[in-house]
Amino acid sequence: MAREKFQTLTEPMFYILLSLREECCGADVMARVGALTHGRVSVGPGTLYNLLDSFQQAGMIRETAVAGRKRSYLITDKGRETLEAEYRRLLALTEDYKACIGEEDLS
Amino acid sequence: MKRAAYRAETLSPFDLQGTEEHLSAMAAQGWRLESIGRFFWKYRPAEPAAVHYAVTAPPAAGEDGDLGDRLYFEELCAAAGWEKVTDWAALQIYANGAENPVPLETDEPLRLETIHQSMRRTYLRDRRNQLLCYGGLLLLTLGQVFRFPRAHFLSALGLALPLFCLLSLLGEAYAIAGYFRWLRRSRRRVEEGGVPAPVSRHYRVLSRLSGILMVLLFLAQLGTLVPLSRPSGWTALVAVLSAVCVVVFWLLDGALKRRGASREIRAAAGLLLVVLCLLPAGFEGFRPFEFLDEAGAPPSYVWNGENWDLEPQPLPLTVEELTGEDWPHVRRRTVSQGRTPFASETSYSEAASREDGTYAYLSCAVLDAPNAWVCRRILEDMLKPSQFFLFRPEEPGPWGAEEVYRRFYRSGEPCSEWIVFWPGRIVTLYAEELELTPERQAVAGAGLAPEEEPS
Repeated sequence: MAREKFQTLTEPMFYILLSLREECCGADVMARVGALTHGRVSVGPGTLYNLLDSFQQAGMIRETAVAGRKRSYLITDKGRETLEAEYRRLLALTEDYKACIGEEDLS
Repeated sequence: MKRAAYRAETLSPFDLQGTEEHLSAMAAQGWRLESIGRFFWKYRPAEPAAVHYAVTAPPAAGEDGDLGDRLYFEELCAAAGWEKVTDWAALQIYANGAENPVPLETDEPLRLETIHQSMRRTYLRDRRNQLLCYGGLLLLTLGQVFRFPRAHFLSALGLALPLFCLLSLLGEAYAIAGYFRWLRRSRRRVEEGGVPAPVSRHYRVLSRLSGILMVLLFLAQLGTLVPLSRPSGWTALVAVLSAVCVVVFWLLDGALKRRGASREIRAAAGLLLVVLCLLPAGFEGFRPFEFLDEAGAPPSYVWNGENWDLEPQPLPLTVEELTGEDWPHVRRRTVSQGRTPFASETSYSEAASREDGTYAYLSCAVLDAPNAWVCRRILEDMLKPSQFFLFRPEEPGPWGAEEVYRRFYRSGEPCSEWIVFWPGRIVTLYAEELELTPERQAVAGAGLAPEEEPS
């Protein structure tokens, strides 16, 4: 059975939404993701375009300004909810891990 | 200073990895891709360098989408250091000269699905349409072969067309199957965290072979346009006209593309030019080209207002042999009507005149078809009744033949035309102003019968 779209977020999806808590354009999103993850995660322009398009269609972000070829976006309430749900999911994962492995082994 | 290089590449549009690696290798050798035309990829010379290339499916533009989306996509790519090189059907190729650039696509499953959507809109749609087109053409041409076996078994073009359609049909089916096999393998690979699968080596080889085959078939088809009986002037004429058509096709397509003409208009223009390219076949009886025929005419003299041969060529049956009388003025012609591995036909004609002005005309078309089934189908085709004529069987004994038929008007009046059948040979004999008595039929049969195979 196909998984519902955005039920879980991939790393690029997560960081793109995280970057869009403040209004910014596509080029800035790529830079912010790199800075947020210290270069661990990078989002290519092709991937970014498709994800922004999908997020917009799903109502998770909205276009705020178009200046020439430059477009700016901002996360919507629905996008925040999705981001929050993903955070709780990741948190649950780490809590489960801790419960299984134990604090001592983690250190 | 090196000039631009043009190469006929056989890369499939979904051969992402192969294309990117090939272009990087070309850049390392000092050749940067500049544009992709209908037939050739154009490379410009540059300093050898390590350049990364990426094939991607941009958002639809023009008739199918918003141009603003396409421009925004290009802006995003430029911001990441990826400069657009050229469009490739619905895809785009980007280049990046940085040492370790952020890949243009960082989500392989997403990239694969985007490419697949693009292929569905373009590559697969075109392949499917061509598959249906070739399938229809194959049925049509095969139907024609069975409806008019004589014309088709004598024409290399007539026989080549069904073969061409069949090979093209198989080629399209193979291309579609190859694409879905690649898609299945790629989906499995990206699910496992890898990149889309490379296109298999034998698929590339077969693509190259099919391209060569298409060129050979096209040349073969052009060759068949030259009438067998015509001198070399016709060959040159057909070659020049075909070359002109190809150049015009190229220029026209480029001009239409620059003006943003739709695919349908460009395809229609291309089809029109293909028809023009095939037109020389219809020029055979066209008056302005008669001088080409005259170039091959034998030396002659004028008598009684007509040209007659100075050195008459030998024929399998002459008026003189048939009548046993002297005919001092003769004009003879031999014309090959067609030749294929299944059948060949040569027609011989002779106009003869005596000094007193008595005139006779004799023509015979000798058709040889060694295969009994083919020979029988051709005979049946030739005996088909028409609106005004029909054939009736006659006694073959005097001819020494197996079967003989004479042509009659539907009113019942006989014509001066016979079809004489021996196994492997069919002769159509037409005698004007010459009564074919049983004795003369025996002479004709003896002259036209196939040679006995040595036992």
